[in-house]
Amino acid sequence: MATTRTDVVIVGAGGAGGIIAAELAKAGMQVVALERGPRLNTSDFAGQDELRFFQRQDTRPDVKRQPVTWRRNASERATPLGSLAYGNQAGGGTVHYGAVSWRMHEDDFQARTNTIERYGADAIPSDSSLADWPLRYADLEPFYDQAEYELGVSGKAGNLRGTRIDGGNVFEAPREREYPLPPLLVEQPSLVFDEAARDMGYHPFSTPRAILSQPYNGRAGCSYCGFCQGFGCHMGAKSSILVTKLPEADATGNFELVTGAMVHRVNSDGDRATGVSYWLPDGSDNTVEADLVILAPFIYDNTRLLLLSQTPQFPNGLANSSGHLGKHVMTHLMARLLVKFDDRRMNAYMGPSAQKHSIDDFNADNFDHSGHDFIRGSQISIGTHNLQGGPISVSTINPPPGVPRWGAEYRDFIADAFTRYASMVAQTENLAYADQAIDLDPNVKDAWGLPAPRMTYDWRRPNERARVEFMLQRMEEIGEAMGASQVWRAPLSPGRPGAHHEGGTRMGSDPAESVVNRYGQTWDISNLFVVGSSTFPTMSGFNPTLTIQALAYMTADAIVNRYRGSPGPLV
Amino acid sequence: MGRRLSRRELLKNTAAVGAAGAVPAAAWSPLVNAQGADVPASLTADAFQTLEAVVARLIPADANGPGALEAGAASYIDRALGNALADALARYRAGLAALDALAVERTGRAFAALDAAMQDTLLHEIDADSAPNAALTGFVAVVLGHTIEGTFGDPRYGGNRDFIGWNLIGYPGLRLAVAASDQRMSDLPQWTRSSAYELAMFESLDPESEFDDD
Repeated sequence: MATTRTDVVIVGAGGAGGIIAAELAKAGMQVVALERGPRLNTSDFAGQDELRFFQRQDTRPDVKRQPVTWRRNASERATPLGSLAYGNQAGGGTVHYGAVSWRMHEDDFQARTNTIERYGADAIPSDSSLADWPLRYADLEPFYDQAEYELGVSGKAGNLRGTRIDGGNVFEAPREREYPLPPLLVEQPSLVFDEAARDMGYHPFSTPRAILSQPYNGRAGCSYCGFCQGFGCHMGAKSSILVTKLPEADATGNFELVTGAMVHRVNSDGDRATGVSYWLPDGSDNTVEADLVILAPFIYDNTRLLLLSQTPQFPNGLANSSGHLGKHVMTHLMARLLVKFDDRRMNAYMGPSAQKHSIDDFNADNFDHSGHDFIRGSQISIGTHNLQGGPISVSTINPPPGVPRWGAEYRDFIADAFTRYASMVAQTENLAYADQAIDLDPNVKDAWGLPAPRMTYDWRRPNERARVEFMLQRMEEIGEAMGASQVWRAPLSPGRPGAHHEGGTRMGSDPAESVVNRYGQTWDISNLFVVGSSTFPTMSGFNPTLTIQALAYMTADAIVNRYRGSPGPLV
Repeated sequence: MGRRLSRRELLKNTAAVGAAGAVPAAAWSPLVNAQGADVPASLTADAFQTLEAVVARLIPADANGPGALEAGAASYIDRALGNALADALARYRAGLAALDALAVERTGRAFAALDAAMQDTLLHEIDADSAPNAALTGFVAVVLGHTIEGTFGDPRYGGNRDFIGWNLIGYPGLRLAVAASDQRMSDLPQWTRSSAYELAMFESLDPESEFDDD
């Protein structure tokens, strides 16, 4: 058992924590980051071993040691989810993610106000807690820019200071300058998708991603090996926090990373955080005392740690005077449509999955929802059926109706379809609802004896079902226009949480309605911050990582330039 | 069917790199008996025989070529039950025993001794929502997932022998770099055949080492 003292302790050295660690250490603050997993190197990744990294998920949490349970509603007993998508190593999920890097729309930050203005208050489901963000896109733009340029994001602008540019995403929010790197190469599925979408009057473009299309900042460009999502990049071409911000933090001499550290409590004295306690693999219980405590693990552990750190002053969880801790959880609903061609090979296994092209015509409020029985939308992309397209991923390709999951007909199907299929996904926004929630499971414990985080969640609400059905119909039309010989839907999930879990410590303008302010600073304890997608009030149809990273830069900026000089509430 | 790779296409595609490559030198090889048959490491001989019969029905060989059994999927599973899939060993023992018991109850013969049609009938029965026995509930899905791993996974792990799985689906093979022209093509690229651990960049790595937390 050891007690150490530092200026700042950060829980989780991933997509958010790694950025804050580097920025604060560069500003001269002494930073200790506690990471539950190991710190790997680019040379550890046999990037083409699909069994190890995609199937057995060696860079992700072990669901037996670190279970997260799920139930559809409060009357069910929760059972552990079979796989977890977040990261379990320094760099977090950015090590193995697909690296799709969106800025959210201006409208996404004001979804409640805009919906009421355009469609009336009745358009919002009565049980939804849809909310505006406590900041606007313009507040975040400089930090989006900083993230794109420091980390390395490839893409083409579709809106430069208000000028729409064909070939980029014409629906994107205005950006001050072009992407630092041009788009990745184009592959066959995107060629066919683009032509069909353009003929239909849509606006296809190359999906922006944190993968280097050419050498940048001393790192090599992508070689298109195809083993990307689920894998650590053996080239270092993926702009993970492991190869970008952690080396920056190391170089300051002010940064210490402790791996294998399982944080089990945020220590506090009244309305002041004093540090955190953590277990090491040798069983020792250790404490870091710090002036500033920053929580940046995946969303489950933000909520769980605060619940576990209750005190007489905060009996319902630390910094939870609002009662909103653990609530308003959202996940992307992944509606999928498969297409198969007789006259050409799609070769969807080629290149990184995030290389594929997208349309944004049906996302957010980019189309008129009048006459529809839902609000908000989806970003639609072409690609492989599930994250990556290597040979084991045949297991993820849903056969068309009438073809069984095994046997001679199945064999014939995969032999025919593997090089000839592509898949479209509508990554669909999930509105916030207070009863989509995370709490402590009373029945299931993790390997350390702590209660597992428990999700109570079922996406199948009327507004969500209508949104998903609308998107499936649009994708069917695109699939027909692409000239596919066969178009079929993948089954929808039975209520299960989808991709990109967000919420639980939502940010807001009102301390009674939210856990943190725009900087991720908890309303109740001014030296305790939470950074990550757990603070998102809404999710858009876009992947969250670049917004997580922009928020991390904004928080770091506020700490260095304002908080450090006069500690206290930033709002 | 007509979309399958023709034999001519297959030969054309592999010609440049030689026929299906040998199993990598560093790879695990199965124990074999005097008759050249695989000797199981985790399962009993009877259970292994049943497993071989099951994987042979999940992805069968047919007139177009070999399937999961020939790819070594059963040996892959048997070996993995001793390490990466150790948590599933009890499940396999119980499931395979229950399947054999069901076969004996229905036909008087072991599952592996039945003809393919009867094996399919029994597998469909236990793959339905109401399996006759708790040990068989969801069992086909479990074996199918591992059969796909053993048929299409990296040969380093003991399956996908002679790249049977990759040949079956027309996967062109691992490559460290893909050219822009390959990305855009609407036909098949040239094939390559090697394990990831035969590539110079990765040959010193051990796929079954644990990442150390410390």
